[in-house]
Amino acid sequence: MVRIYRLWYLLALIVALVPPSLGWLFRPGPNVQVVDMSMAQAGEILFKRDWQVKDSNCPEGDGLGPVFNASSCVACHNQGGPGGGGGLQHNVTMFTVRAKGQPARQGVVHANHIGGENQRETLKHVHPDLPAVSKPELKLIVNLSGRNGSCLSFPPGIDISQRNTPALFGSKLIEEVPDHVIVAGAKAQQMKWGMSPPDDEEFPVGRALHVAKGRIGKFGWKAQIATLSEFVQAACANELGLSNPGAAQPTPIYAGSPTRSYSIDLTLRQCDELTAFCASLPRPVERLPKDVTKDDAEAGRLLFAKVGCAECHTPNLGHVQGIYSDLLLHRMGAQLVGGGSYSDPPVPVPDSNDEGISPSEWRTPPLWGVADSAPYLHDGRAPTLEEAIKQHGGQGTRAAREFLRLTVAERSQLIGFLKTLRAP
Amino acid sequence: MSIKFACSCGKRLKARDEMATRLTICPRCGSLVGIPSLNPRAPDAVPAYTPSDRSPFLPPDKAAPAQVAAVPPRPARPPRPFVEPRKVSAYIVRLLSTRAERRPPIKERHLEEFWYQCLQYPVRAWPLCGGLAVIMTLVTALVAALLPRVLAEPAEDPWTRGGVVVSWVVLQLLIIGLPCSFFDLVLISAVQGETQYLLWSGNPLVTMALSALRWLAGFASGPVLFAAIALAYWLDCGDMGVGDGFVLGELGMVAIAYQVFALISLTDRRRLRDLNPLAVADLAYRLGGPGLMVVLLAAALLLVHGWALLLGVEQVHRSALEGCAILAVVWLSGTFWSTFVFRLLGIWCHRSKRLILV
Repeated sequence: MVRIYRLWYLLALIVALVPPSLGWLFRPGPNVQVVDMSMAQAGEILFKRDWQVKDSNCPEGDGLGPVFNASSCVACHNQGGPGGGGGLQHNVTMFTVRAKGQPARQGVVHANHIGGENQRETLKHVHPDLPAVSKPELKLIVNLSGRNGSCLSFPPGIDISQRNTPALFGSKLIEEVPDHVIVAGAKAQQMKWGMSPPDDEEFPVGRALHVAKGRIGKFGWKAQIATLSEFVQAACANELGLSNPGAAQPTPIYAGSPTRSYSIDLTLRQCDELTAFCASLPRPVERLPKDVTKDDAEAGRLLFAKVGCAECHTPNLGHVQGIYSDLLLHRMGAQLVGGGSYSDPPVPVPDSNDEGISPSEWRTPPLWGVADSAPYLHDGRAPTLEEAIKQHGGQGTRAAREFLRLTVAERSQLIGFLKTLRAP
Repeated sequence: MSIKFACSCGKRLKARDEMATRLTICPRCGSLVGIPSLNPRAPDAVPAYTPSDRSPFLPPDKAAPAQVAAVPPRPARPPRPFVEPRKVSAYIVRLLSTRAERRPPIKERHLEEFWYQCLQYPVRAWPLCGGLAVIMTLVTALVAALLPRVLAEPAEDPWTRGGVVVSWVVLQLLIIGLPCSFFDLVLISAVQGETQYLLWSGNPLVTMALSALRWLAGFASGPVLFAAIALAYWLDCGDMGVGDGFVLGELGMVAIAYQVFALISLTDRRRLRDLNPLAVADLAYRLGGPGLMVVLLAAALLLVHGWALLLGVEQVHRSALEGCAILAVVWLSGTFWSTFVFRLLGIWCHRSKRLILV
């Protein structure tokens, strides 16, 4: 006798698989976009342009400034070619002022002012007890190892930190990584480490930062920006003083008013051209330097995974091969802290679902092209790759400790592997 | 030793000694067969059942033929052999009864008639339920707090590493085997119609290992597919939305419901082949709509407990005390409801078997 109910039960099991199949079917894949090369070429011109006050390219605005860090994009992004990282001399100084009963005030101490030296922003404008330095050297605000004694002591509630210029190579691929892939990385890390929460500094468990409109942050040292376009617009406004539809140029911090000028310096099309140029920058490559053998590089690659570097600097992310980053925020310990933001409130994401970023949290920087982007860490305090690894704290402590346990030859192999990650 | 005998259909059967004088079901024809006594010459020995013995249980239209009915009526069933259990410890043993050492049923205690009466069962077994919850809380917290550290820094000394591996295996046995064996015993006892005791092998380690294997076999027979898909979906879905929650809840409920039905199917006839989907479907059909409803509700409840357990484990890393408190509540609640559900389903399975056979 055919027992029909058996078929019904089996059918129910099959039907149970339909919703997840539909979920996978309609899940967004990589947001691959074709770069318009004519736009990119126009963007390259803008990228290399030395902007002026009342620039002819800004008919509706005031051009460069009033406060700015450099007069062109390429002035900072130049290591390994236009779009690369920058040296210590181009560091951006940021501040956070926390007063009892008041929301934190944060922003940038810009290096230049169109009015000249007398009108520059200085640390004194942040707090009267600080010196009137406009562009402090890193050793003045960070106690670098072996150079004790020259660091400023900051009043309570004042945080001063710097940011090193990041490289923009392969940024189109980073933008294409679907949000759910980044979140999946965070979940996998949490599962692997016994459901350890991301605010635990013991295990490398990161978190994806949720920004405006339910998106995941992918750009910036704090992963505070979701798209390349927003990143470009924020940088134009804050580093060059070029107001645009996405971000307004800052006014000097001593002006007292947080309001910003909204006369447009860069049109949306110009911003898109700049974005297209950044998106057209090729991804970094893996290339053997002269002083590293292939065997050593391969051995170094294995050691890279063995000591735990690959826990956060994951070699592949979604469809992007060789990125060496999980694009997650990780707590890096008390030594690697830095507050501050481009503005108060942050301009690029005014409707941000701000979950609050801890001063010790940093997005895992992609290591592709790392050999051509010295100095290292968020403020460039580590002149060499070895020093950068040693200074990993918090969730990176274990990997740093394992690195130090390696023999000298093994360390050399690991560093040799990192030296194969070159700018295009 | 085992007792060898034959059914009227010709099927050769054998049973354990302790099953002497009891009834069993012929796997070929499905009829009730009496298991002969160990000492057939004894005056109170019970002969094996014949088809005529079934006539008192059968409806009139299916009664045995006249010539068979002429067989003398079955004598009154003798009391179960009673052996005083080994006095290993005080209270907990009173709740346990090894299959070899059956004790007489407690007077005035009957099999639960209504579903809500099964709620009393975990209350009656509170020392076992509470003990299990406490042990599992400690083990879960210990594993959550220590295991990642141990894995992160593997010992270089081979002896130490071996010790870690052995400890890990023991912990795994505890984590999987302990709750599995307890719920397994609850289910076995209910399916066999026990009113008071938990039937167990008499050896805790054997019971745990066997139960863990049974649960794993049940899991591998089908639920693993849904669980794996659910895990992959959860990992890949990004931030969970309402739709994702629905998909995961649905997959989780199907996986758990399948696991429960598979376990009951395995317990019912004690054959590994009853884990096949068709046999599981047969059992689900036997338990009917109420059975399906209870299993689905239990699955939903278990999912909520699983989610709370994850929260508790996460909290252990922040504050051990708070994490342990959450874990204790989750395990206590989970043990209570699981015991209730397995008792209820086991009894329904027991009754459905009788209904079909008689």
